[in-house]
Amino acid sequence: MIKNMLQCCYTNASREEGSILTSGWQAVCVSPDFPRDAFSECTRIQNANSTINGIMKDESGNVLNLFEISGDGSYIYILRTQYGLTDRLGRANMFSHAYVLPAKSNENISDPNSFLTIANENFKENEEDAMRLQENLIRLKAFDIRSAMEICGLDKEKMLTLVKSVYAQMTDKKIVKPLFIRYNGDENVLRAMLYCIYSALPFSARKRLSVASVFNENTANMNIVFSVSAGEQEYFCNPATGENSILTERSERRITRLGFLDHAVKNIDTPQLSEYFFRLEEITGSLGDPTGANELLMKIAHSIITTSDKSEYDKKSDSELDILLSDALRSDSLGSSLMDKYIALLLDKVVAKKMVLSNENDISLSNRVKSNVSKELLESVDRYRLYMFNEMPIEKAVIVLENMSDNEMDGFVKKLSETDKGRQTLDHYYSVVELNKNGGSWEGIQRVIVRSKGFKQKPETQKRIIECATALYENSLKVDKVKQIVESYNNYAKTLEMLLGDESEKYAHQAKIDFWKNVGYYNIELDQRDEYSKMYIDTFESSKMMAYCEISQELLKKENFEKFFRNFNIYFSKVKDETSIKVLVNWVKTKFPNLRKDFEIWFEIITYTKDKNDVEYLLELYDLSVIKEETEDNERHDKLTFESGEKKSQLNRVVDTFFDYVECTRDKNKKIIKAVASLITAVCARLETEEDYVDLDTWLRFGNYIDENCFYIFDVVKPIVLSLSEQEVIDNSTYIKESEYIELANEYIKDRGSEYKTVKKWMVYTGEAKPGLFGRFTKLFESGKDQSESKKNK
Amino acid sequence: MEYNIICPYCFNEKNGGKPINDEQVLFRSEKINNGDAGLDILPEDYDDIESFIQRYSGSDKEERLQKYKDWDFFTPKKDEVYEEFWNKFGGTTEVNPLDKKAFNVESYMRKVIDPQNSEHQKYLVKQPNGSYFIRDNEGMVAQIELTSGEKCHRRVCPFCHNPFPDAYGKFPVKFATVIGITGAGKTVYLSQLLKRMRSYAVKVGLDAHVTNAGVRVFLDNNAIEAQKPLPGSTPPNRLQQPLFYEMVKEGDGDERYTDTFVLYDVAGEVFRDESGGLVRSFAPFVEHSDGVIVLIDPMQFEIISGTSKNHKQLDDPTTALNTIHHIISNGNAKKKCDIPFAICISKSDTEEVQDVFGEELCSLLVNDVEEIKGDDGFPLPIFNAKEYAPICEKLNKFIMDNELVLAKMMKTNYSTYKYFAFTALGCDVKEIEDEQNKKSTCPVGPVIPKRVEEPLLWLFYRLGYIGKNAALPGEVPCPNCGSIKTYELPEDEREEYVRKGLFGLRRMAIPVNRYCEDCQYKWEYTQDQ
Repeated sequence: MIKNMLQCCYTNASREEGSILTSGWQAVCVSPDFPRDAFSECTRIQNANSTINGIMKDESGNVLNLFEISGDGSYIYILRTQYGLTDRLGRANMFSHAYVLPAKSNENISDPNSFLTIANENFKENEEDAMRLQENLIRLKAFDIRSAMEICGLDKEKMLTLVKSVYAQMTDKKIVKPLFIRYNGDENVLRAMLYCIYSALPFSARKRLSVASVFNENTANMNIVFSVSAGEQEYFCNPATGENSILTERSERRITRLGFLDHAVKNIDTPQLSEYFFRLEEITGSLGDPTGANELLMKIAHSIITTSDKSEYDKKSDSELDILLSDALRSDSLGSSLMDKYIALLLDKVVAKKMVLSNENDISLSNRVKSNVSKELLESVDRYRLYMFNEMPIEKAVIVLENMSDNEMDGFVKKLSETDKGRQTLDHYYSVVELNKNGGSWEGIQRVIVRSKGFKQKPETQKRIIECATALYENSLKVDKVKQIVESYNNYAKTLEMLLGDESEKYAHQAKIDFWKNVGYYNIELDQRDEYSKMYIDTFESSKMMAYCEISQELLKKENFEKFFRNFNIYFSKVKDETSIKVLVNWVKTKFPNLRKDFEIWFEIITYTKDKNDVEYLLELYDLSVIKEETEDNERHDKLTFESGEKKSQLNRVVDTFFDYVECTRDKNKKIIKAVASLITAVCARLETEEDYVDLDTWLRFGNYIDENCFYIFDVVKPIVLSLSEQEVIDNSTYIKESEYIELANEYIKDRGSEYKTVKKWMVYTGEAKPGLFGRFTKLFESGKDQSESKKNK
Repeated sequence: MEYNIICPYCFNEKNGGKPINDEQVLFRSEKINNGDAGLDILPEDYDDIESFIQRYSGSDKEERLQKYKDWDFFTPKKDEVYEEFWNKFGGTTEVNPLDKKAFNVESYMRKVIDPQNSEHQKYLVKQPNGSYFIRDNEGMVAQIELTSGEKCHRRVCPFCHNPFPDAYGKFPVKFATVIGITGAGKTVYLSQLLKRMRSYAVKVGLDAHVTNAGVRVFLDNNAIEAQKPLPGSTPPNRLQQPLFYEMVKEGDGDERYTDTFVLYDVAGEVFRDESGGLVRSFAPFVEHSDGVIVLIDPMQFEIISGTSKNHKQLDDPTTALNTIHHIISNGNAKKKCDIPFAICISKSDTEEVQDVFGEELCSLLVNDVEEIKGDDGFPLPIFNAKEYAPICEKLNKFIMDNELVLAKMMKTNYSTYKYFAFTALGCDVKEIEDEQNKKSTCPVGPVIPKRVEEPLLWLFYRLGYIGKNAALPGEVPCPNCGSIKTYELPEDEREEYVRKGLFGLRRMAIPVNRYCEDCQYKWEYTQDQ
């Protein structure tokens, strides 16, 4: 076992298991406890060399013994692959022996000698030799930088070109072919050159560099390949002359700006260089990349290391400072306190130099501040913002505010409101940006009020808030129902109170006036009295509409139509607006769809009855006429029936009340009386029963108010009296025997009124008319029948 | 006409194995922007595009950015979709020497253009028919045209971005796989077969055209010449490029028929361990095969290895064949696999093989495969079954007598298989040492392969490209329809009832022992027939 080193061999091997021989490409002779990931990568690299096309030779024509170094970030693989072998079938074969150096800890790779001085004798060239893995490493003489540079013929300038060329190949995404490095074919020179390259590369690059001593199809993916005729290749570098085809002006400039390669080569012969690389990796890690491989972060880390005196930043040009800050802001490193500190420092320098960040940088800064950043950076950002606000036009400053997070903004408002310019900016910001964004809702407007509370002088904002609130309220008046309008009013009042305090009252009062201006018979919601009452103010419009609303309340609460009519009568006598009647009728119809159809007639009659007494009668009549429909309401029924201590049927009360009304009314409007009579006759026809019916004389009295010939009432109603015997009817009637009525009856018979036969029967019975042929026959038949029945009885 | 295409690399796995139509293909760009010229669009102070986007605030920022994007669109880059496919096989094996030499670009790094992608369409010319496609004479999508004038004709699969050869998808496609059990000499065999493919095809009246660079690259890398070292063994994890041929057959009059024939080269080591990751990667190529050629090293037979000097027998071939059967049957253990399998014993001219094959078989194997010529002197599209039949019988007997396990395994698992034997070198090999004492093995020469084409020609016959001039041993044609898809009936099904008599009232049982899969005819077959 070699300390810190693993071994793995790979070949097309034959294996005997008993008498059976199996063969194939496989790992042979592997160190115990080989980590799985390292083994997988090691055999992958070794297997990549297993394609053998023709004779594999090196550039000198010798059978190829390929030397490779490859890194995967965690391990460095040092391999030699011996070609020119044959397998059991005599086919071309190779044998690969790899030493694997763990590279997670930088200690193992800080000195490239740890993997560059493994002597060739350590590498086995066939399966037989490899049966015993190397237990002790034979080392070549360790390189030091001076001797290595001397061997390669490098001075610092040429070395820098070489290292930059290697770095360009490793980092330029568009370069996918290897860089060919010219050498003289001497492996010692190759190793010395590698020592120079590795020594100048940061640890993260050392861990990923892949190198091959000879080019073939299997090594086409390597970063660098050594060749005596490198100049013929697309990407080459001749270290001895510095000539190369990989570095362009731009790429060289880019690498120079990274700083760390130039720094390394400049200090290549100093003992502090190793410490520099450790710090570079450590700081890159602290900036957010634990692998230490992020180029941008390495660039920043280098800047931090080499600019220990903060005052040195003052010497940097605007452009340099801009680049530094831009790099820091576009790095994805979040949550690094070191990065926060670095950005804070640069921002302060930007302020000191009176520079302005580009829009993209400004956006990146705002995005960074939105995450959890240090207090130091926040304060620095505030200082920058304040400086910016005082420098830039208001419109531009507003855009910067717009990109701030809420947290950032809240802290910043106070500071900004301390200066005139700041106040103007904030006023413009709230009145334009915030209210354009939030002015469409009460919550939004109130949020703006709360957020802008930090500063007092904000005329634009105040004006715009009132405008926005008024617009919202007015819109509600136009489109909303009263409930939403009241809600909207409350919001309006609350919003303005938040903004203006006591001064808001005049706005609230005006809002109510506007409300009532907007309320009319056509849009009033009669079942929302309570909502309207919340908006009540002492104006004619408000009182009028509230009174109108009141009319319906009894109806809504107890369905008390009597009170409803009474209230309405009072209202109408004062307001005299016919629209109110129509609206009310429609409302009642909609609200009480099961109400009898004659309700509308009652409504009209009562509305146009001027005399107060008449109204009382009519209301009683209305009440009596509807009571039948409410037999469930026993209490009311009983009350009506026994009201006067005298037991009177409802029917009788209706009839009596009607005639009392007719007798007492001073209003001689016959139309009204006729209408009432028509309704009452219909009511009586509904109310009468076999036991309690309306007699003929009462019907004829009703008939007198309906038609010139009172008998025509029987064309309108069909009362029980029509079906009773002539004897019962006539015996209970006095009118029928009077000449005036006899004449009207005969006229009715003559004009063939719809009940003329019944009336004629009555007339025949009284002897005022002769029966017809059918009547006589019937009479005879009935008398004969009576006689035979009497005989039978005898 | 719509053309349906199955990708010969990924078999449209991401599309559930369903074919795509010719309008779904993508194209590799003919335009290439190499080098750093794109960055010159940016002002000097900016090292990269990210830095430019972050810092630049000039009024021409958008214009410059667009110019950069247009330039960057055509820069060669690693294609993630393509890389994902090839990562399973240890990296791509695609080589296009012309692209490398003339354009300094690997073909697979060219920009892949999707004509359906609106972002890509702005670089394309809309054709008069309203689409971005240019169709060939037969109406298949063949090209797209860039606004800069280049016509892109390199079609690639939309799922794995691997290239389709010209006209791929226009004709019926048959896939075949060559599997070499370790050390069987697959690389030598394929090299010899591919080198002479055209003349072998002509022997059976076919014209074979190579349609991709794969064949040339394979032959360049694996040339077999006297006194030159033999090629190394195939790394098992690497997928070699499929080898594409167009097989053209003359029809009556002016007609000609074309089929696309795709050959895969797969190492036998893949199938050594059924549960191994390699099997999973390579299984699709076997699953989709219409024919398989399996090469066996004669040293894998105990009878032969026993006569050799070191008496070592190689890994049993049935291990790999079992794994292959498991893949092909897709878990359906109840049915025999009916994909044609050519089981080939290589190195038939070696001393050890000759010793056990016997004089008669050896004398047959030493002859070349004879073509059947027509009246006009041209070879007919006929497999010379008459010539092959005695070889077949003797190889059957050899396997039955000496490798019963293999014989039984084949009979139980495969319904269509034949044994073949050939030599791909036809000469001895010797070990040589170079000046540095490094050893290698070379053919002594002259290299004269014998009967390497026979398994392939039998496959052509089985795939329907050609006919045959006699029944083959083990083949029992149906007397009703002539199909050779006939099988022996199991014992309990060997009676067929027929109605006889004047009015068909009598029901009679007649003996039958074979069944035709194509026409369902049953009959009694006797050896005399």
